[in-house]
Parts: sequence; structure tokens; C-alpha cells
Amino acid sequence: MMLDLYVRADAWYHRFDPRTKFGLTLLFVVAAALIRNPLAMFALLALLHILPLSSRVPPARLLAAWRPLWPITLVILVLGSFTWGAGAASVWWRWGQVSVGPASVLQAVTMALRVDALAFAFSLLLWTTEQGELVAGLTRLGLPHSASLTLAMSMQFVPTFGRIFGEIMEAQESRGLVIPRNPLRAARAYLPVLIPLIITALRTVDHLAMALAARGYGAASRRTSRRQLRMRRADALALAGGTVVLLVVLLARGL
Amino acid sequence: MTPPLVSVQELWFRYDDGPPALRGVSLEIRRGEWVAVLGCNGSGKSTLVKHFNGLLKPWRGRVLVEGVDTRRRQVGEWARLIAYLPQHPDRIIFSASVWEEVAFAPRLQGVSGAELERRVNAALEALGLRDAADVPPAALGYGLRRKVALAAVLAQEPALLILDEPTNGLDAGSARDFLEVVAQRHRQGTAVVLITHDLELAAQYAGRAVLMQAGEIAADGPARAVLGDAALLRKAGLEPLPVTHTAHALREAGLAGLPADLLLPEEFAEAYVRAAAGGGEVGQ
Ligand SMILES: Nc1ncnc2c1ncn2[C@@H]1O[C@H](COP(=O)(O)OP(=O)(O)O)[C@@H](O)[C@H]1O
Ligand SMILES: [Mg+2]
Repeated sequence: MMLDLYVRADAWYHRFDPRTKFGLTLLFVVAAALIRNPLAMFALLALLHILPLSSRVPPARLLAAWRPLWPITLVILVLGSFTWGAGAASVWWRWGQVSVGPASVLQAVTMALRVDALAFAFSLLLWTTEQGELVAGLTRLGLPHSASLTLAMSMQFVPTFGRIFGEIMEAQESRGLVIPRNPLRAARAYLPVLIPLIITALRTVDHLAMALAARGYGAASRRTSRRQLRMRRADALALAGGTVVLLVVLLARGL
Repeated sequence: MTPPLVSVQELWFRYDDGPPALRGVSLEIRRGEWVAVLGCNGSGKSTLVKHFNGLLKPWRGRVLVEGVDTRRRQVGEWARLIAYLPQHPDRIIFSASVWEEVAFAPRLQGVSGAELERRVNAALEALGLRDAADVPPAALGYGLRRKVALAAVLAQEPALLILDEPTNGLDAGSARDFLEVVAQRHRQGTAVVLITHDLELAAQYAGRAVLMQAGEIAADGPARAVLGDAALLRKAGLEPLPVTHTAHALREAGLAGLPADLLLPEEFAEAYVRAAAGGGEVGQ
């Protein structure tokens, strides 16, 4: 199926109950939201590379995730490095109200890595969980089936947009677009790439809604399910272990 | 002698850690040619043409554009020589008006003023888009967006225009209209590389055909010879043109004087009338 990011494998992370994987994803998201130190954020991002690799997700998939991610990372780095107003004590460069200093740059690095970590936290979930399992898991957590399906499907669009991003890049480069090395200019040069991506996203949402309606989605009042979920001991261990590690790290280091 | 526009030498390519998608492909594209690239899905057609302007770089072997290795320049630097039309117009469209969209590529080449006006207006004229010049292209219907995309690459005024399955999803009439615009540019000297599944369109427009099969070139020669070789096409997973079948069956049935290289219905009709009327006898 075109929308599928799932990597079929009988590997350790794959075998967790989908609810466990939701729980772990939530832990990663919380960690990404709370961590303020760029080194710690980097470590989290590294962990989110090691986990999928050790569960037989091919390196090519990780690279594919980076392709649309790095221009976004770049834009955040550039825009985030500027501070507006009087700003910090130590400043490298100032132009009127705008300044760049070590504090703002570190903050921008953390912010960029945070976005990367969030993207990888969700990618890990999607690489290791079938769409049917995602829907079943979300439904069992109490979400209405329609909402579960919508959520699972929109998450599955991530790889599609990665591919489309690559195609847009190819098209615009063929028209003569050269992404400059200067990151300030690079951020602007990405406009002819990001705008078609947004337009395509809007069109896709439209088509998806029509396709679901055409298949009679929303017509039946009660849905049948044929999927059984079971929590095993490994699931409990992973969730408990993950929570403890997160708490210890956050509390001990005051990150 | 001037070097060929594109020279592909012993090209091997693989995506990431997959199997080779191209296995030792060699060919040249010369100025002013019209080359059809044929082959079934996954045979490596797109992978091959994306090497012509450096969108993909060889794993082994090399690709030269006017004698310069594509690895030595960025993709954008080949835009004045080579244009590539993606199948989907929405990969291109981003500007606030059709005029601006078409002007984007020439502007990047440093074209401005009267020359810019000339290029953009010529491209809009060719596709009948003069009245839509101020409309936001994203708001147009699919058929018109395809025209805008073609206008945008025509305005590049390249020496080589690469079209990757441009007529997919178009009805026969629109496909022909679309290729007529390309043919008009071809008559002015632009070389064309056309990837297509439609053997009839290939027969109609291309002078040369390259047949791909599992990452290799199965045949490369005059379009008539390649398109008329039923055995070769079948081996590469393509269904020969109906005319080829019919003419073959008629010859088997004993109709003498029917040429072997008929491809298009009009040619067939003419040859059939001649063969059936003059001398040729339909057997029992
Ligand atoms: N982006 C890609 N990543 C990995 N494999 C690819 C990619 N694009 C194409 N391929 C593979 O390379 C081979 C050739 O593909 P392609 O050049 O697109 O064929 P065609 O254009 O003739 O249909 C196929 O086996 C296809 O699965
Ligand atoms: Mg293709």
C-alpha cells in the first residue's frame, strides 16, 4: 500500500503491543518536550536512531526520514538563532533590534534537534507498527474508531510526503534552482520546494476525505473488529523501564 | 566534432542498498533527436533519464553533458541545456501567477527584460495560456496545471527536453495536443527524450527508440525497427501495436504485398487497400 511506512520484520521492538509502543512514543515526546540541554537532546535523537536500527529497520529508511527533515532543521536553526529586542548579555552580532549570540544559537540547536527527535519518535512507532494494529491500539485506548483511523492514516502519510518532497526537489532543481550554501539564503531558496509540498498536502486531505466517504466510511453505526491485542511481560517491562529511566534522567540532571 | 549532448558510458546505478536498477547502460543523445524510451514498469526508464541532468549520479560508469561529467556541477547548473518535466504538475507549481511560474526558470538563468517577456509569452502562446497569465496556477484544473508545467519547462528553452510519461492519465486527444506542442519545439531544433507506454505515440513522433528491460538496453535503433519487432517487444514485457498483429495475421493468411513495418492505422489502411486491390490475393 502506498501509504505504508511499516517495515515488516519479526524484531524486538515490532513485537511490543501497540499500546506499549504508544506509551514509549509518549515517553519520547515528553522527554523531547522537557529536555533543554542540546547534548541531552542529541543523546535522545541518537537513541531514536539506535532503537529502529536494532529492530531491523533498514538504514535507508532513516536516511529517507532525514531528507524532508533537514531543510526544516536548517530553517529552524537559522530563524531560531536570532533574538529580537535587547537580548542577552553576550552577543556575537547585532543589527538594530536583531542579535545573534551563544545563548540564542544553543537554543536554536536544541529546538531543531527537538523537532528531529519528535519526527523520529513517531517514525519509530510507524516503522514498527502495522496500520491495522495502530487503529486497533488507538481504539482500545478509548479513541472512537473514526478518530483512530484518521490519526493512523495521517501518520502513515509521512513517508508519502518524504517521497513527494524528493520529487519536488528534483523538479525545481531541474528548473535551475540551486540551494546556496549560505544558510540564510538557503532557507529562502526552499520556498519553491515547500510551497508545492503544502499545496499537495492540502489536496491530499481533500481527496482522502472524499475517498473515505466513497467507501461508505461513517455509514455503519457499529464497526466489527477482528484483531486481538495482548500485553506481555516484555511490554510491561519496557513501559515501566522507560518511565523510570525518563524520570531518573530528568530529576537527577535537572535537564 | 562537437560532443553529443548527452553521453552515457557503461552506467550502473543502484538505489541505496537495493539491487542494480541500471546495469551497464551506454547511449548517446544528439542535438535535435526525438528518442522514445520504452519498457515495462520498473525497467529503469526514469532512473536512466534522471542521470541526463545529474538528478542521479552514477554508481559506476559516467554521464557526460556536452563533454562535462555531471558529477562536476550541481543539477541547477544544467537547466539552461536540459529540462525535465515531472509527471505530476504539482511538483512544479508554486508561484502566485501563471506568468511568474513560467518566468521562474528563465529568471534563474539570468534572463530579464524583453528576452524574458519573449520567452514567457512564447511558452504561454504555445499552450494557449495567454488569457490565464494572471491566474494563480494552483487554482486551475488538472489539465490546465499540466499545461502550465509544460509551459514552465518550455520557457527554459533547453537543448534537450525530457518528458517522463507526460501523457499518462490524458485521453487520446489531449495526449496528442500535448505532444503537438512538444513537436513544434522539436521542429525548432530541441531534442526530446520521451518516456512512454504508448507505442502508438512513440511511432508517431520518435525517430529513434530505446527499449529498456531489467536495467539494460534491449534495443536501440530507428523507432520503426524497434516498434515493429513483435518478438523483441514481447520479450521486454510490452504488447506490440494492434497493427503489427493484424498485418502479421493477414500475411499468414496469405495476403501478399503487405509491408512488414506498418505501425499506425492510417499506414495500415493505405497499404491494405493497395495490397488487396493490386495483385495481392486473400487466401482461403
Ligand atoms: N526512489 C527509489 N528507491 C528505491 N528503489 C527505486 C526508486 N525508484 C525506483 N526504484 C527501483 O528501481 C527500478 C527501476 O525503477 P524506474 O527507473 O522507476 O523504472 P521505470 O521508470 O522504468 O518504471 C525498479 O526496480 C524500482 O523499484
Ligand atoms: Mg518511471
